[in-house]
Formats: sequence, structure tokens, C-alpha cells
Amino acid sequence: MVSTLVNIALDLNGKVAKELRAFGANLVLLPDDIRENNGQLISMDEIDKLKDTGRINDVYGYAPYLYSIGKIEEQNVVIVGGQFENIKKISPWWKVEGSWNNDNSDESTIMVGNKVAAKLGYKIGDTVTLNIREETDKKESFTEKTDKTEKIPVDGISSASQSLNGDAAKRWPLNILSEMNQGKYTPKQFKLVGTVSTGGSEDNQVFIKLKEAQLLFGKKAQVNLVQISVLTNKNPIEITASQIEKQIPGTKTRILSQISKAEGNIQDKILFLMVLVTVLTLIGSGLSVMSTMTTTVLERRKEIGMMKAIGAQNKKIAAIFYAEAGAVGLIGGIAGYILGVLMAQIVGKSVFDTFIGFHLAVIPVTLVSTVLLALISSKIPVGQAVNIDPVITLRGE
Amino acid sequence: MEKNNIITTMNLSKCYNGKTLVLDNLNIAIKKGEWANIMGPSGSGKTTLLNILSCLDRPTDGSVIINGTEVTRLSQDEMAAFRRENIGLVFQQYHLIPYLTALENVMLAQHFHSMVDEKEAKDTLELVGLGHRLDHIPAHLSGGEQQRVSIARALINQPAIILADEPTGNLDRANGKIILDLFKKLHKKGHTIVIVTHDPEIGTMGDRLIRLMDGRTVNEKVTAL
Repeated sequence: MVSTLVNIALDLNGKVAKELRAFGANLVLLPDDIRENNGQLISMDEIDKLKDTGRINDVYGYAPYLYSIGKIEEQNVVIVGGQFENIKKISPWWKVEGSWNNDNSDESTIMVGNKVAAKLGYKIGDTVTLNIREETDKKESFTEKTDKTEKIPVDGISSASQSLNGDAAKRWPLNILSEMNQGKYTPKQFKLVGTVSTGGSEDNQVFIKLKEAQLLFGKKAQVNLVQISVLTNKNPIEITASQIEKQIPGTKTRILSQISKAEGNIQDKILFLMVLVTVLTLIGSGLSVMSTMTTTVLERRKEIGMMKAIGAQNKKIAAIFYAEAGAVGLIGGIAGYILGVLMAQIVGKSVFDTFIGFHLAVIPVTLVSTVLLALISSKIPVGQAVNIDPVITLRGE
Repeated sequence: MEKNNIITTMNLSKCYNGKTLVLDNLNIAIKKGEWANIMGPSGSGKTTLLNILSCLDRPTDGSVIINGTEVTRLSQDEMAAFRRENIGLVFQQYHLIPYLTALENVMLAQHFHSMVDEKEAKDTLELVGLGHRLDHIPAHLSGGEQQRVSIARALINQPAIILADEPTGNLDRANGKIILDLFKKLHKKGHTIVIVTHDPEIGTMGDRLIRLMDGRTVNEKVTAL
């Protein structure tokens, strides 16, 4: 049991951290000062540094996004350019009916949020005419305008999406809404390949391939932000965030602290549970060993009495029983380790859908703990053995 | 107190629970190389006396001097050490370790004494006529053979005194004779032997017969071999 739990515990943080990545990104990379009107975009070349594991640790995945606004059948929509293979990895909860946009295909395809599809009556395979607002002046870009009133672009996008829900006046800056109606739009036809359901803002957005978005929005090799999924089992997320900021100049990171804290809490609680189960298992095993040793002493009391009668000192009697307990602990430890590794694999496969790693450190931990447990649990029975009166036991009482 | 007494008890008393007086002011002296038999009815205190002489039990009162040492003053561990140096015990029920061979049972006494010497253990088993049974566990030996292993175990550390409690009590006549012949042989070699027995035949052997009644000696007499 100890071997199983220690094996799992050693892998737990990594496994749980990966499982928790299903919560989505816990870090967002943004241009350094999005209120400065200097383009406010991040270059794709810079983003590639996120793959540099030598400089930036613990990045599980990332997805760059480029946003713009447009219209479908006179309805305002937020157009999102994304890399869908990456989105699949860091946002596995997205439910897509139909198929995902293929990043590598030259075909102009589009995915729409399920609310957009429902409102406009689109079905998979339909042709969607997307009217994309022309970017006449970089300084009047979407993100910049958003940031005049709302500092958080991610939420800003969410808010923009509310325009289809009729509560735009509450969340979406009025100047943007008015510009949406006043701007010049270029129509572009897309084939609808899938509808997206997330229960979030994505349900109100439309999704096209990043490269196509960059071309259509006139933002070649640039993005508004990058959602990053960071593993937090080895280092605090702040360290990774700081590494990213250092490696990608002109950007800043924002930690989605609710997700990070939730992950940390879950990991801590699971680890605490494992420690608790391990301790309780050790206590249970200790009581079991003590019971077995007590029975052994009772069964062998005549033998112990005889040993004392022929001159065995108490320390030799104690040494015999401690040696036996230690040997049993050692054999039990070896057998337990082998069984524990096998059980850990079964647990790993059934809980995490992956095998638990082989940890050499578990061997000494298991053997030392089982031998120590056997010795400590034998203290009381050995005391009983030492106190046996040979006069009584040899008389047969 | 004579110099050549190897065992001397003076005013030895043993009382259980403050009520039952088992040994009552007992004075016994046994010479070095002497074979003394202790007889008496059940409850007369024979086994209690043997336990005290074996340093397994302590008297309530009086003193016991064995081989020049006042043993009643020794601590538990000192008594164990004294026992393994000076006394060889033979029990009625043999008390061999069931999962050890005859040779290992003898070597166990060596282990508790100092260090094991397989050749010496084999020689001792040869001496008691069990050279061909070295690797047999007690369950594969007859009662007489088990008692001979027990005697070999008692002899292995060359104790000054051999104390035996009913050594033939569980044996048939033929095996009993073998054991008694062995004691005669040891006595001739100079061992001091004290045997507690109910057997009147054994009582006629040895140098002395000490009769106990209600914890006191009665009609002590010298016998002849």
C-alpha cells in the first residue's frame, strides 16, 4: 500500500497538473502596454519562443488569438482567428459539432458559436458571408479602442460577444458599437464546418484560421494575445510568467489567479489525502504486525523460557525477535514494493489513463519504512517476550 | 561452610503470595563431584528447590552459594550469565526447539554462551550416543534420544553442575536406563549432578539422597553407587 501510494504521490503532481490543464489557460500574454498606440500586437516570431524549453519552463500549450469585428447578415459579431490544433490542446472542453477548422487547409472554412448558428439558422455545410471591417488606420484598431474603456482584452472580447445577446449597452463601449455600424466592410465567403459550444463567450463568436485572419485583418504574423496553459506542479506559475516576460520583450503576462489557485488547492488536497491514507495504512499495518508478533511470542513462550533457562540474556531474546521482525519487514517490503508498483500502474491507468513512472527512490523508502514499521510494532511483543518467566513457562502454565 | 561444597543453601525459604511456604529454612550442602538425588512427595518443594539452585527463581529468605557465588544477590541478567557459565539443565519435557536439528539445538546453547563450535557440538552428541542423529529434528527422535540431546545441550558449555528435573519421567524403562547410564558416566568424569525424581530406583543411585517433606529435609542418607 505504501509503495503504491508513494509511487502515485511522486507522479501525482505531474499527472494532476496535466489533468487540471483541462481547466484551460491559466496565463495570458499581452502586449506590454496596450493603451499605448504602438500597434499593440505580438509578433508570431516572438511567440515561437514559448517552445524554447531551455529558457521557459513548464509551458504545457498555448494558443495565439487575433480578434476583429465583423457582420453576418447585419448582425455584429466578434471574429476570432485561432490555431485550432493548439486550441484543442489547451481548451479540451470545447464541444464542436461537425469538424474543427483545419489549420493546414487552404479552404476558407469557419466555425461559429452555437448561439450564432441558432440565431442565424446556419447548418454545417452552409456558406457564410462574413463582412470584415476594413482596418483603415492601425491606430484605430479594435484592441486599442477596447482598452480605452476596458483594460482586459480577454473580457473585452467576451463583452463584445454580448452584442448578440442584446445587453451590449451594458458591457460594450458605445463608441465601438457605433463604429461597428459606421465602418467599411468587405464581404468574404466561408464554408461552415462546425459549431462551437463552450457555455462561454465562444458561443457568440465566429472562428476562422489564424493565418487567414491575419491576411484579412491586415495583421501579418501578429496576434492580439496568447492564451498559455502552464504546468504548476514543479514551479509556481509566477516563475514561468516572469520567464516569458523576460524572453518576449514588449509583452506582459496576466495570471488567471482563480484557475491557478484552484489548481494549487486541488493538488494540495489530493496530496494531503494521499499522505493521510499512507499514514493510516502504516498505522493499520503496524497494528497488524504487533498482533502477529504478540501471537508469535505467546505461541513460543516455552521456547523463550527454555532459551532463558539455558542462559540467554534478555537482549539476546530481544535481538532474536527484532531480527525476525526485521526479516519479515524486509521480505514484506520487497513483496510489497513489487505489488505496489503493479497496483500503482492499475490506479494510474484507471484514474489518469496513463502509467505511473518508475521511481528508484521508492525502493529504499518502502524497504526502510516496512523494516522500521516491523521493528517499532514489535516493541511491545518483544517486551512481553523479555518478561517471560521461565519458571512458569517451563512448568507448562 | 566447607570449602569443597559446590552448593550451599543456608536458611533457605520460599513462600508464595505470603501464605504458602514451600521451602522452610532449608540447609543443604552438596560437594563438588557429588551426585545428589532429591526426592519427596508432590508439593514437598523439590522443583522449587531445583529452580532456586538453577538461578531461575529467587528465595524469599536465606542464601544460596553456588561455586563460591552468592546467587540470590545477582540481577536477572547476572543470574542468566551465571546460569550459562555454571549450570546445565535437563528437563523432564526435554524442551528442545522443534524446528532445529539435534545439532542446532546443542549449538544454540553455545550461541547463548559465547560462540558456536560445530565440531564440539558433534562430539558432545557423540558422547551421548547420537552421532548418527545430528540432523534430525526432535519430532524424528524418540523420547530417549530427545532427552539425550537435552543432556548434550546441558553439557556443551562444560558447566560445573548438572541439574535435572525428572530426567526419566517421560521415558520407558529401556530409555530411562540409557539416560541413567549416561549420568553415571558423567558422574564418573567428575560432574556434580543433582537430580529431582520420584523414581525410587534413581533414589538408590548417586552419592546422597535428600528427602524433602513440607519444604524441610528429612531422613537424609548417604547412598552408594
